[in-house]
Amino acid sequence: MPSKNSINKPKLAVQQSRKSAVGQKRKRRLAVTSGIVKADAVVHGRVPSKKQAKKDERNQRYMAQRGVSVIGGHIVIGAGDTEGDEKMGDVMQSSRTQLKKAERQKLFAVERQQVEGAVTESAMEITSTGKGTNLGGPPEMP
Amino acid sequence: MSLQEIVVDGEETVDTKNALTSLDSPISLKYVAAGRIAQSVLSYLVREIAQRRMTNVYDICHTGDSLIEQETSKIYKNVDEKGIAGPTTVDINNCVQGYSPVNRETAYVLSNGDIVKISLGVHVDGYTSLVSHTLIALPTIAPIDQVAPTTGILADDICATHLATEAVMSLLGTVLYRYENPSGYYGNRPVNGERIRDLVESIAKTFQVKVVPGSAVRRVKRFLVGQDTVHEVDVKGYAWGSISIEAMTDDPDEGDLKKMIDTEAAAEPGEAWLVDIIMCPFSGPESGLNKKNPLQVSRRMLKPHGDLKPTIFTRDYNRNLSMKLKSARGVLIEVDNRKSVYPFHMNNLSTPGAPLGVAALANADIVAPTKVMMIQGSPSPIATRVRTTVLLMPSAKHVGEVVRLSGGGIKPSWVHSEFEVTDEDIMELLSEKRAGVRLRNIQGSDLDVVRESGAANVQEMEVE
Repeated sequence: MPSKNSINKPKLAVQQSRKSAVGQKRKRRLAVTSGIVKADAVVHGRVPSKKQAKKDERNQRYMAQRGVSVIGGHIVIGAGDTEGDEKMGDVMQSSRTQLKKAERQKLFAVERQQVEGAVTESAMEITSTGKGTNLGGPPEMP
Repeated sequence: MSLQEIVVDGEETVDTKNALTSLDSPISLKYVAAGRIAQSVLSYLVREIAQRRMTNVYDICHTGDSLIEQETSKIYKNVDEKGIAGPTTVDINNCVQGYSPVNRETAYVLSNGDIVKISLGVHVDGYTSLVSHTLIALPTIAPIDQVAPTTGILADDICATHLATEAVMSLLGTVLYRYENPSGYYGNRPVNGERIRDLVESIAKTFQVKVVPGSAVRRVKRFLVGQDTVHEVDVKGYAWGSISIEAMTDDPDEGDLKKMIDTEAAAEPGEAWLVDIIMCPFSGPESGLNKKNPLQVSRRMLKPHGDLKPTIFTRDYNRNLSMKLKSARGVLIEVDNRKSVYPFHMNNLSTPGAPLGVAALANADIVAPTKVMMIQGSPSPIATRVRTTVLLMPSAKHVGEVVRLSGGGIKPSWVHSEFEVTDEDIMELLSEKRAGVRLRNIQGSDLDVVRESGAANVQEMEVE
């Protein structure tokens, strides 16, 4: 048995049979007419399976909801969309790295009755009887 | 009376390596330098928050750390170890420690009425000044922001914390004239952990608040300020439990700290002490209180925040392990060379891939994370915190003085509590004369701060 490490044998050599160009064109023509592949899709010689086709259709629907479409393999914002850059940013940015504003503000939320009742904005509500403890003073003007 | 003459039972009581002989000694000057920087940075941050120039917590923390690094780099050029002894943290409402976000987008923005606790630490050659200050974030009401003091349980809490800190400082200062005036009430009794505990809890009881675990009044030394990763010996003072040690046993309030801290050892002139008081108006069930001490919140009520991951870590030099991950090895080298025994923030690491490396080190217990701890309860207890470092400075000419390194001179929030201290001994400590104790506050200095161009001068707070 010849050695696998023989110097006469090039490494990582892959023998590929040259497929018939006519056969590929025929397959593509059938795929386009059956609606599996769009006419302006990128030509790469592969025909997507039914599962992949369903997945692509589902993704197309989601992108349409976001106002984004794929034409010729490129992401294109819908015509007349003036906030295209922001939406592009929303599409490209991963949601898991960005906390929503409302969620962020809930990090240290407490029952407001403790704080609201404690902050008075009118001097008339204070009845000074000389007892108690006063601390600090009016804040300085900026 | 000179330091060498202070001898008790034939033994010298003060560690000469950490002894403070006078305000002009090299050790004292380093303490004062650290305190001046801490005071300057804290004053700046408090002013910026009060004037609504900073409302994003990331901006506050990042600015604080940057200013500390900037100012410490200007002094003591021949000293390598200096800088941040505690990363700037901003703990809000019922959070008691550890919140310092890593990026601006996910950071909390101060809202109307938030109780903000700013904490930071500076060290010069291991001589450390730690400080914390509590303030109320108030809304913008033109032309005057606040026309009346805040009242209610929040005011009680702030008053209790502030007065407890002042009273403890005065009590510690009484040791300076103990030998000159042994017949006085505060002259003939040693100031130990038990007396400090009684004083703080008495004030807490007066204002109907509870002491939160993590509070401590203890002696500090060079490089040793109570880090959980360091096993210290000969620690004196009193600690109301530890925040970091989570409740794992049936009686978590006993704690390991009780074995580590000598509560009967007395304070002596020439020592540096850390006064760290955290209190909250706890109105939950009795099971939330310490079984042995109903004036203290049980450690069971302290839980890590469910959504916030730790961003501050401390090297545990008791553990060593060779890491496979390249970024972990890089972070470990950087921490060992630059961070020493003090906590560090993830953002302050320059090693590529630092977050991943730190996570690997934390999993291997080589670094200990500082979790964001919250007080549980309904309604949520809002905690207030005051922390300061003081020097018990003896003097040959007079009775000596207490030097507050940082925290003095910053006016507390304007509050009015319906309670007041009636104990005559405590009132004497809180009076202007402070039972004969001289107090000196280290003042801050102006900082060179470059504002980012285009940034808004005044930021509006979140209003619900």
